[in-house]
Order: sequence, then structure tokens, then C-alpha cells
Amino acid sequence: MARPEDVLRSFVEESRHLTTNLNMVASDMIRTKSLVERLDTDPTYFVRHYGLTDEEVEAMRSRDILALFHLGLHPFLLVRFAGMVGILEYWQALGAPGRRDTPGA
Amino acid sequence: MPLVGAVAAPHSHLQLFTRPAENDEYRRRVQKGREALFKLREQVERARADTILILHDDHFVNFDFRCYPPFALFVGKEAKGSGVTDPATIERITGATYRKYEGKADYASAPAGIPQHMADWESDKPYVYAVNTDLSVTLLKGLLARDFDIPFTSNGTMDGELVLTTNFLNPRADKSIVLMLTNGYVPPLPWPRRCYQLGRAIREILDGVEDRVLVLATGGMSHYPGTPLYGEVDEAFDRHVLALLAEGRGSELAKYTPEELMHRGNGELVNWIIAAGMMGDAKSTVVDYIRLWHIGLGYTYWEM
Repeated sequence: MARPEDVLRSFVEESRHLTTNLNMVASDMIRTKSLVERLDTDPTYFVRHYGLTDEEVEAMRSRDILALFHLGLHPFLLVRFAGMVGILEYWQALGAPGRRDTPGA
Repeated sequence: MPLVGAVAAPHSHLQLFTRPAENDEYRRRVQKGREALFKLREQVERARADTILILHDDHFVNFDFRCYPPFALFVGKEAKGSGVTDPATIERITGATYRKYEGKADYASAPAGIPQHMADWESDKPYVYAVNTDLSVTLLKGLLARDFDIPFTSNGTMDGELVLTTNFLNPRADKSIVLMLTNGYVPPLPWPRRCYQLGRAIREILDGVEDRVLVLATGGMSHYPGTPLYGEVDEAFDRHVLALLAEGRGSELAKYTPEELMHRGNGELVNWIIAAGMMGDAKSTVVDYIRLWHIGLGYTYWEM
């Protein structure tokens, strides 16, 4: 197992999620379905109304899970976001060890 | 005897939602976990509780980055939420009844094939629970008087994980609930020593009420959702925690730092530590520990 102190540093020690507006967007998407659809129809809305950077908008629009993690989207909200856009096995994009379940577990 | 027992149980949606890719051994272990939950349900019934005080870390349904308190009490009259999959499936597995809204064909709140709690788009919530508001307010005032500056909220939306625990442990919603929401996964977390102290203060208040209250601490154990460590499980840490509780050494959980809990994949242990504070160093009975590929599931209870 990789050292959690290293892998989770941006999340636990640096708490990058506290300073990006990505989390406001994802939080609102949980309650408002039309916001998800707006990613594709009106992406500049997220710059105007949430102050997202172009890089952040592009990461959301392209469903780039790994980029979103590094940009500070909180892991819970990352899972929620992936689900809302129809991605079940989101962990594959993160390069996580994931399912190593021979023979079972 | 106002406090009539406590249980600690996982709230993972995997207990009711199984990915298509999972194999027979995985499904067997999930079923074993459900049986552990049914044993905890027996414990709830045996305690003859009239109210369940639920300690649960909010999953961005009640709170978000506009305000994310370390602890908060819900003070409304009714709490409600959606399940992690369709209500008919949940009823088949757990026996949990639900409110049927006229004319509704389904209660989907996320894309098909995805756990339904990923979004909160469905406005008709099929799972509805009466809240023991008198006790909520008693706790709120009592904690403030004991120097715990606890926020309160009137938003009683329950996330899917919280609903899951009640699906199993309060399937007919015939016990009222009290909700204490916590922060178990949004660093910086509350300190474990403070969680333990909070539990002691809650116990002191409950010792003065007439209600028969059972405590339910949800969550855990080790898992790393949404991170590049997903699939890792710190099984040794999980088993150590369960051993401490079984040996009547729950107070030792107060010694961890928030960062240690996070590194162990155990931020949600804050809920269990509050419960441990309420139970002191009473010994718990461990029902089971089940290792899935992405989470350790621990089930334990305390008798009075």
C-alpha cells in the first residue's frame, strides 16, 4: 500500500478542497439536475456564476476525474459527480488499486 | 434507564447496491454483512428503544462548503430521504416499508445503473421518520449549557447512506429518531478527544430524560472513496479498533489525531468515538468484521 500520508497530502494536509469553487458547483449539482446538463450546453455559466477557472470548467466538462481530484474536488463530491454523469467505476481513472479480488473479496 | 443500548454499523451503499462486475464471493460477503445488520436489528428490538439517536456524518446533502459544521443537531419534526436503490428492492432485502406517492412509477434520483443516492434530484422522499423533537431540543440546550457550541439545522434531508442504516435497523419507522450530523470526511475533522467528550456530555443529558434511547453510530470502517487509494483497506487498524471496544478500552480511541483517522481510511470513526464516549469503557460485542475489496465493514453493539 502506498503511504496514505503521501497520496492523500493534497486532500488531508493541504485541504485543497477548501479553496476551490469546484465543490460549490458539485454540491449544487447534487440538488439541481439541470446544472449537470448545463455543463454541456452552457459551460461559461460556471465561470460567470461560480468563478471557476477555464481549466476547472474543462475538467468538469470532459469528465476528467483525475484532473478534478488534483484540482481539489472533494473525494465525496468526486464520487457524486462521477455518478451524476453516469460513471460507476470512477476509481479506474484515478489509478487506484481498485478491485484485486481473486479469489473473492 | 434512558439509554438502553448502542450499536455501531456501516452505512456503505454496497450493502444494498451491488455492482454488476462483482463475483459470487463478494456477494456472499455482502449477504453476511446483511445478516450482521439483522443481528443488530434484533439488538435494537431487544432494547425496547422508543427513540434512536443517530450519529452520522453528512454526505453533502444537508451541508456543503457554504457551511460544514463538525457537529450539528437536527431540530425539525420530520426527517426524510431517498434510498440507495429503488424502494421495492430495498423492501425485498430489508423489509423496510416506504411512502408510496400516487402516480409515481419509480424514485430514481441518478442515472440508471448508478447508486441512487449519488444525486438528490428526486423531491418525493419515500423514507420518512418522525423526530423526537423534545429530545433534540433537550440535547441542544444541554450541550450548550455544557460548553459545546452545537449548531442546529432545520434541514432534515437524509442522505442515502443514512437511510440505509434505518432501512435495516428501523425498517417500519416505528421508532422516532434524533439526528446528530457530524463531519467525518471533510478535513479538518473534529478531534477524536472532543468527540469522546461530546459523547460523555450527551450521556450525562440522557441520564436525565425519560425516553428509552438507543444510540446508532454509522459509518466505517477503513475505506478511501474518491481517492487514488480506493481499493486499499487498513484491516489491521479496523481489527485493532474492534478489539479495543470489545475489551472495554473505547476511551483509547480518543487519543488519535484527525489526520491519523484519515490516513487509516477511518474518518467516520468520529461517529463511533462519540458513541464510545457515551458508553465509557463498557465492553461491546463484535458481531462481525467483513472485508470487501474497497472497505472494511464492522458491526458491534453495547448492552446496558
